[in-house]
Amino acid sequence: MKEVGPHRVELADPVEQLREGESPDAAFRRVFETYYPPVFRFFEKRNFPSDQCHDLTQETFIRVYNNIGTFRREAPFGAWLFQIAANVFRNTLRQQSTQKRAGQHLSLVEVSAEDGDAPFGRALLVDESAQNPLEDVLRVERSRILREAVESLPEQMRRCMMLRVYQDLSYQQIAVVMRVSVETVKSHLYQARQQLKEKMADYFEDFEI
Amino acid sequence: MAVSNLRDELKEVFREAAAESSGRGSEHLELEELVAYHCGQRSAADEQRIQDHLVLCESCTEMLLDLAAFPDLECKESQELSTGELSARWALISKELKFPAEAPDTTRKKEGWRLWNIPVLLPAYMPYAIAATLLVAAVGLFVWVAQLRRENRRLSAQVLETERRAAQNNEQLATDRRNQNETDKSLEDARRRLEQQREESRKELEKRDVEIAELRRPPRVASGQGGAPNPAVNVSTAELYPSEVVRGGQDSAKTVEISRSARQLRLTLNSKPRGDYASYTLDILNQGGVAVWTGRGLHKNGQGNFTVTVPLRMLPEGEYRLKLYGAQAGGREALDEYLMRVQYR
Repeated sequence: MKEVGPHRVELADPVEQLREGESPDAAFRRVFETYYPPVFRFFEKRNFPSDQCHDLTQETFIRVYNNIGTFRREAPFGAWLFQIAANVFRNTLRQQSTQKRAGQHLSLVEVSAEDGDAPFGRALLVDESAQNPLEDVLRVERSRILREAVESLPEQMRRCMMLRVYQDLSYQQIAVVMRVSVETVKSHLYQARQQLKEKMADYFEDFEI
Repeated sequence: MAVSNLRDELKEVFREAAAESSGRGSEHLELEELVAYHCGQRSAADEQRIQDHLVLCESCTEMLLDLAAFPDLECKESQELSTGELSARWALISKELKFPAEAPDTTRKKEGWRLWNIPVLLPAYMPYAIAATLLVAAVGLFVWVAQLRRENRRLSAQVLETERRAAQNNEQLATDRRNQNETDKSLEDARRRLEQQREESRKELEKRDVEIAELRRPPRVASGQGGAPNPAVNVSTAELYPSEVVRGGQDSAKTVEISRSARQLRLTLNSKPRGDYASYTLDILNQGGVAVWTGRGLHKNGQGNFTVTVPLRMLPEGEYRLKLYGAQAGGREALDEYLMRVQYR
């Protein structure tokens, strides 16, 4: 992987490296050997069993071979191949979800834990603090004021803070997601913290995010 | 009441926001859109929308981060695939894939192998380079054509100007030629007139010479021999008497009618008898008193009269006074005077 900027990467394009007169199987084998491990890791990261990871990786390369004619070089070859792998992943999730709905009944919490689609599962977590009504009222009020304070932040600042707090991303990851530099991310987070500190000094002691 | 940590409270707020977002049925980003966003191929508005989704969607964010890290993805539980395993996997997949046979002919090899129906040997920027080249060529061609048109217009204008000048020159030449012809004609007319005048002058001179010769010839006096003068063609005759013996005296002129075809006038002058002179002289004076003709060396004929032939050219119509003198030594003596009125018919 060649670093182009703080958040941009350019993947190697083996198609460009094909030599004149090279046989098709030799060319595709080089593609296969270059990208099989990262595609395999992509599925492995998503908690598929090893055998299924191999199957999904193989399916990905069959799709790559059959659809290489649609590659228009608008994106690097690696990104295009990654897109195929991600499509295989989403199709697999969709099929599994369909099979599960047709089969046994599962709780929403269990489903979210299994399929790794965290935001939809977490949204249904039970609020344990609701057992104390007074504290709950205070929490709701504090939460309202905090929400207003967050909404008053500039957009980029608010997004950086959400990625940092809600998704626990590093500065480098936030920079990749927001397509800005790490220094910009640090600046946004510092200013967000300062502004919230001014508005919420009566409610919090620790403003570290 | 102050609580300990802002981060926990914020996380809860964001979690509720994410729950609301998922409750509104927010779909995951399309992978194509995610890849385009990662490659910076989306508009600013699209980027804002995608970022708004990413901050609340862990799945899409994770996908984007994996895409950014690809192919150097890391997985904690992953084990390195061995070369043998890769070969085994290749053996499996190569059975399912139907590779085209290698091209046996050299022509295909020269053109380069195109496994997936794409120009694999061309770099990604080649279409843009070709398009830019074509654009530059088109612009250059346009400029060249414009220059040719301008040059063509200039040359056409020059040709028209040259033709116009040639036409003017031809017209001028024709005018000069016409003037030359007119001048030649005028010169010819002048020459002809001069020739005519010269001929007339020559004829006039000849005529004058004849007259001079006629005048120089001694007058034929018939009285000397006492016979009648020989009749002459175109000669008119008239007889005059001295005015003092004519009725009416000095005021009575004899009218002499002469044919217009006559050339000469023969006058017979009757004279009073008196002594003889050696010779006589006759002057013919017009009304202004100018002598139009003079005859010298006259002699009396047998009847004591004088016969004189006068050219009529010298006598236009009018009254004339004729004076006869007798010549004597040292001078002359006026003898008789005659009055005559000439009329032509």
